[in-house]
Formats: sequence, structure tokens, C-alpha cells
Amino acid sequence: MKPTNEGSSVGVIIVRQGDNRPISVQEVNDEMLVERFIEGRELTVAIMGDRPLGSSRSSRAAAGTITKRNMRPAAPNTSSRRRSIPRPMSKPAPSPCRAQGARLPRHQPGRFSAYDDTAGEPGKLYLLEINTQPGMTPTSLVPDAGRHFGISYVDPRHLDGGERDMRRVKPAKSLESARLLLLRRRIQRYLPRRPLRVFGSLAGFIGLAIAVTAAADMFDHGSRLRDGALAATNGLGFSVQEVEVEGRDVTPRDDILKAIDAGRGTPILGVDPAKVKQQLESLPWIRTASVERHLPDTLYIRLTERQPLALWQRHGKMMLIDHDGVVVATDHLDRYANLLLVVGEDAPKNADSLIKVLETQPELMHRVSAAIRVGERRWNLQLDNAITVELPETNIADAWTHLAQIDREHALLARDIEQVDLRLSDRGRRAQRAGAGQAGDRQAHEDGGQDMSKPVSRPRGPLIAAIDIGTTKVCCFIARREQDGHAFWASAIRCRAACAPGRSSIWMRPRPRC
Amino acid sequence: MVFNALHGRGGEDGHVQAILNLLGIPYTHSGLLASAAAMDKPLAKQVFRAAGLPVPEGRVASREEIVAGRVMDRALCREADQ
Repeated sequence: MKPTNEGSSVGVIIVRQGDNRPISVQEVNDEMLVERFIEGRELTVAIMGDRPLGSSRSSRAAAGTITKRNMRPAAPNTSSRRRSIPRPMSKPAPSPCRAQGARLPRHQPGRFSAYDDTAGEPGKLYLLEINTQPGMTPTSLVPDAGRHFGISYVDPRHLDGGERDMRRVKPAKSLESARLLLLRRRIQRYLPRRPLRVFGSLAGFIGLAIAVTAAADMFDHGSRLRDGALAATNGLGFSVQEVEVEGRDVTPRDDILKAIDAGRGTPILGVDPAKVKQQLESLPWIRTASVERHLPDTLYIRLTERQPLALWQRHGKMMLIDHDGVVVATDHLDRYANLLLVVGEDAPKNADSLIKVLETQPELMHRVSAAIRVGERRWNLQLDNAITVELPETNIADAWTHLAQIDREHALLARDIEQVDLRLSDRGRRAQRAGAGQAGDRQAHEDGGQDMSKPVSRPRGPLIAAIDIGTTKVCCFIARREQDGHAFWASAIRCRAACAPGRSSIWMRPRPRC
Repeated sequence: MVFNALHGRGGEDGHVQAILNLLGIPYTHSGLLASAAAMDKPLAKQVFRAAGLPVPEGRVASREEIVAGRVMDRALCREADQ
């Protein structure tokens, strides 16, 4: 029995077999919906628009253990409930369940719960209830289901990126004014509103014309004439009453007001848009600004702010840089802790192009913890597991794609290696012509490794490999021969005292095994 | 756009949705009709049934009927537990 108009299982009474307790008047509402109790487990389908997001099942409802299945706790937002998505049930059931979800009236997002009437095997599904207002907390069911279907979750409290708290909207006196209020709030207003001096626009312009003429008569040289004219226009209501700013995200509003330097009541015709623009653009976060005077009383400013790109470590200090490599001053460096760390004098101006390349392989990019500029020529990447990846000077994109490919095929970066040298593609070509053995030799030589065993090489199929096994390090060189006879890629991998010396199988297989 | 995180009376029974409809402001979650219909369980059930969705059998009973203890056929209850 459930009250006809309550939610969240408030006031639900379950009568089980053998439950002979009489129901008291206080327990029930005036009107109750009385239904057959359905044994089984609870399935929930989240629906977004027309799209069912799979079904999930509360594991609380494990078969046979629940006596109060209909009694969901009134505050179900604690994470104690475990869910499995999609529901791990044998075949046919999920689809009818989802299909029924999709048959609900269109454009009514929500969640609906159904009970499966058997414990275990698929049985008949009953539609129990619809929740038109499902919770959206991080632990709620619908975001959970959404995540499974690739819809990311943003905490509603941080819909604006967490920069500001959500604003409280003052109640409006009429519908018309409420709509207007919301419309106007889309543009931030920085000066408190105050009733304007009332002038019909036509009267205002006529007045202006007279005032200017009069002023011209009264004064004879430039600045005094200008001052007088401004004072006259100001008197007619041509003064700054509002400043509208669009595109501000991080720049503090006080900094903007200071840069504009035109308080309420300043004659608007005396404000020089070009100068204000220049002053705004000298602020750290502002990339470009455009300034317009909207007569009679509004300054309209459109900003493009700098987009933080990376953290730059220099002389032991961290700085935020943007796409142009410009240092952006901020008091909240911690907010940008997830950005890539770049090191080196010329790192900022090269960071943008590097990051563009790195982003082409998102999984790999994710593992890069720092990028270090070497000799103002090229980059070394530090991966999260202390592997150093040496990128070439040119063709970074090819090298990076190549690394991603070997990592996908051979899980290279999960192995116990120190360094992956991707600079060898040129040498690889040369090596291929000269014979891979020499290339391995040269590589070993460059690394200063001791030549304990002779480097061996054997072109086999499209792969060329050479290995140099030293006392403390194993150096491995791999190249692939393409149809045209050129090595397509090459890399040297240095391992810590890796495989037992003498195990030549390491290079005979196409997959480097350490 | 209003992110409607309200629950319970007023927030999910169509009142807020109706106001937002009048103001012409888009909002998240369900619309007025769905919210209002779903808040009234017997009505929601009728809608489900009309759409051909299986719902548990049952009916609306007054307090007097319930206290008197004669709402549904007993055999139904027993059957469910077998």
C-alpha cells in the first residue's frame, strides 16, 4: 500500500504472508494505492530524452534477502548501494526492460523502475513507478548509468566550471520583468543599477546639439571646449551608468573596472575606447578586448581571455602559460595542477605545438607528467612511471604515433625500461642501408655501454633488430623495413639490467620481451 | 536554463515546471505533464496501462476500506508468496 501522492517510499506499507497485525488509522492516508506485492528484484532504467541508458539493479535487492523491497530509504543518496550496469541478467530481460523505457511518452527524461517477478531467471517485468525528477548527485543512479554510456558527469554545483557559486535570483514582480531579468543576467553588469535620468532620446539629441553649439560659442580653445561640451552632454544623461562585460571568466571584476577607469557619471563621450582597450589588454588574463560606447549610458566590453595551456617550471618556480607562451599571472596555480609541466627556457613558445601533437594520442598524453626541452632543440618526455621518451627534433608527430602503436601492440611502456629513444628514425634509415648490426653498434657506442657480447643482427621479415647486452644495461634497436626498402620506424629501448645475458630469443621474436 | 534539482512537492509535481513554462525558460528533467501525471500514482498507472505497459494489479482504496481489511482478494496475496 502506498499513498497516492508521496514519493521516495514515504508511507509505504507492505503486508506479507502471515502478517496479521491490524492496520491502524494513523498509518494510512485518506487514499492509498493497494497493489499486489511483486517478488523479485528492482531494475531501474534511466532515460535521457528518447534514449534509454541501460538498466541497473540495486544489489541491495539480492534475491531472497529483502523483506522490504518497496521501502527504499527516504534519502537514497548515500553511496552504500552498489549497482551493476548494465544489469547482469540472462539475455532477454534487459531489452524488453529498455524497450519499455523507450515507450514512455517522448521528451520526458527520467528514471523508471520495474520489478522482475522472479529471483534469478528472467521473468515478467512489471512497471512500478516513474521518477520524473531523478537525483543528480555524484552517487545517484542516473549519472551512474550515464557514465556507463559515455556521458560525463558534472556536479551541478559546478556547472560554470566551479569558478563561482550559483547565483541567487531575486524574485521578480511580474512575469515580464522576470523574463527580462534573466535575459539581462546573461550579460554581467558591473555597476549597481540606478534609475536613469529621464530623457526622451530625441529630446536628448536636440539638447546635445544646442549644448555643443553653446559651448563652442563660449570657449575658444580645444580642451576647454571639450571639457565644456562633455559637461554639457553629461548633464543631458550622456554619462557612464553601466558597464557590460562579456566573456569574463577569471579576470577579477575590480581589475576590469580599474582598467576602464570610468566610474559612474563619467561623461561617456569622454571615454576613449581605444585607450580602454589598450589598458584592458595589458591585464594578465586578457588576450583581446573590444570596447564600444552604447549611447547614451553604457560601455560595452567584449573580452577574450587567455586559455591556460601548461605549467612552466623555471628556476624552481611554477608559472602558468597560455597558447602563445605568455606567462599568465594567477594566485590560484593549484587550479591548474592537471596541466602538463614544461621545463626549459624556450619551452613556453614551443609548448603549444608539442601539446597539439601529444593530444593526438590521448591515452599516451595522459601518461606524460612533464616535458623537458633539451638543448633548445627537442623534447624529452617524462612518463608517469619514470620512463623517459626522447622525441626527435623534427617529425615529432610520426614518432609519437609510432610510440603509441608499439605500446598498443607490445605494451612497451608497461615493461621495465628506462628510456625510449625515438630520435633514431634518420639513423634508422642510414642503418638500414648500412646493415642493422652497425646501427646497434653505433647506438651502443653512443650510450657508452660496455660491449660485453657482440651486437647481433638478423633482418627477418619486415623487422630488423639489433641487441647489445651489457653488464648493467641491455640496449635494443628495432626497425621495420617498408616495401620501398626504407626503414619506416626505428627505436632504441634501453632496459635496466634486464634479461639474462645470453638469451638471444629476445630479439628473434618480433615482440621485444624483457 | 534552470537546473531543476528540486524534489518533493512543488519541485517535482509540476508546479515549478508550470511556472518555468510560463516564463519560457528551459529546464532540466521532466516536463509539466509528466511531472504532474507521475506525482499522482493512480493516474500514472492508468497512463502506463493505456500505453500497454504491464503494471501490478491493484486499486485505490480509502482509509476506511483499508482499516476494515477488505481491499483486495486474499487469494492474490497468497499467490504472490507461493
